[in-house]
Amino acid sequence: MMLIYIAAMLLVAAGAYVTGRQKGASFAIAGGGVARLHSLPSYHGGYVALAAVAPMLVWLIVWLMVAHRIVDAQAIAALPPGLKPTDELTYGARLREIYQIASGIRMEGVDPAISAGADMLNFWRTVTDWSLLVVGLALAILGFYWGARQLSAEFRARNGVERWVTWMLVACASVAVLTTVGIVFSVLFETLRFFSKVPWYEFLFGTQWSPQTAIRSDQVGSSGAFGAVPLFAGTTLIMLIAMLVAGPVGLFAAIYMAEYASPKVRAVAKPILEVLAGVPTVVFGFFAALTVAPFIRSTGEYFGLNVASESALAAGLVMGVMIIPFVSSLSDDVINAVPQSLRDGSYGMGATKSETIKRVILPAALPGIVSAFMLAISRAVGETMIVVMAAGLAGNLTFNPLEAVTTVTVQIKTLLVGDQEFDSAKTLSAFALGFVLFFFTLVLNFIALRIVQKYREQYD
Amino acid sequence: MTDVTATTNRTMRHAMDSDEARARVRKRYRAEARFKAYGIGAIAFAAAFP
Repeated sequence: MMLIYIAAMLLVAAGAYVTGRQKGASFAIAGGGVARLHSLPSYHGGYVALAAVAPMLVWLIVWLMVAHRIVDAQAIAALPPGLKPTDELTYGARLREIYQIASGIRMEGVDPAISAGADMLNFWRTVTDWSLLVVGLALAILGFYWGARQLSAEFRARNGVERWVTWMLVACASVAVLTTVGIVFSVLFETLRFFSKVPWYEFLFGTQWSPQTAIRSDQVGSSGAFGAVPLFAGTTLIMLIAMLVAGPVGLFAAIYMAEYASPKVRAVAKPILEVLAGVPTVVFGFFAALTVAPFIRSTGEYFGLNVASESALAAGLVMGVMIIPFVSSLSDDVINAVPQSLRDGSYGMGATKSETIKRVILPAALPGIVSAFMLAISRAVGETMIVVMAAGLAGNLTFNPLEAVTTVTVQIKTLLVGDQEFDSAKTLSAFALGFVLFFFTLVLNFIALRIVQKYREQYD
Repeated sequence: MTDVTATTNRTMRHAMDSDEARARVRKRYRAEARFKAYGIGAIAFAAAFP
């Protein structure tokens, strides 16, 4: 029925368009030329088509939300009182039973009372299906006449069509915004549920992290500790190491490519850097765990240092390499955007190239560079796969890069992998962590945007 | 007037030919080369990883 309805919508649209166009053309013939019309005949057609199809589309959306509820309710209502479901669980089970009988999957051993419910289901399905088509076509005809009646030589059909299109664009844009809002709220509500079990100050300022919940209430260690400070410290440490790698390397690579490199070198070097952005983070992850971490460990042992096999240094280094292209390509763009007149002025005063870069170009490009760094930081904070593989699992409050630390993202992954019950503090703490992470990156992005707005210099 | 200009020119040339000036320029050019080397090093480091 859905397919028929969509086909009907297309047919209605085509028919309304052709009719409206002909009517618009007839005005042109009667009034002596297209130039006498306010809008071209095709806009007349478009206006009528939109007027006919839009109510059909709205009706379809309403029907999709409402129809199956009516059908289900009628099918359940047809059951005798003894078989009526009492709670949500039996409601779903009974409904599945009815669905199976109605679609003919189950033939033998059918309770006649339930089969009566199935008959009712089929009946109401037919009713709602036909009502979709009949009401939809009626609405289409109403819309068509409403649209077609308005047409005249002076009618502003183009403006009407463009208003419709504007609203469609607004709808498309709001999908992205509404999704973000939805994510925030879903995380927020779970976080509030978590804070009803564990006080927020204990979560934000506690220094013990061992998320456990007991299966029996008298079990040993039945109360977990949800102090997230070690996770924040670990995240910050790894992020700092990563930025120590990615910041200078990315910035210098960007400067070299923008200012020194010949077009030939640039054509080779830029794709190579962009390959880094294309490497899957899992690959970086096992590279960190299997190559970099043992290398750092053996190097440390050579100097007599005790290095954990999953050190923060290894994860941070590899993560730094991962975010080099973010820093370099964004900074490259900003440096290229600095106008040539500034460089020429500096060279004219006798400055060397590096002096020009340090004294003139970098200050001019600073807001863009800062925002590139901010984006790289939020990327590093949210990165999961590398730290899952290369960083530790136990919360460890330390700032020694040679020890194993854990990060927020690793803990979220650990808490949510596998089968979970979604009302224990252990599982809910993942949402609280996610919310903190989300909030942190949001604040970083906000700061980056503000910096760019505040210090942006508009040349030329 | 002409005399004054001539003297300034001579002192200017003298200032640019002095040992300190040569040392300064050498230093600046070394800084230039170092800065360029940092850039090449950064790209080489990034390129060595994949």
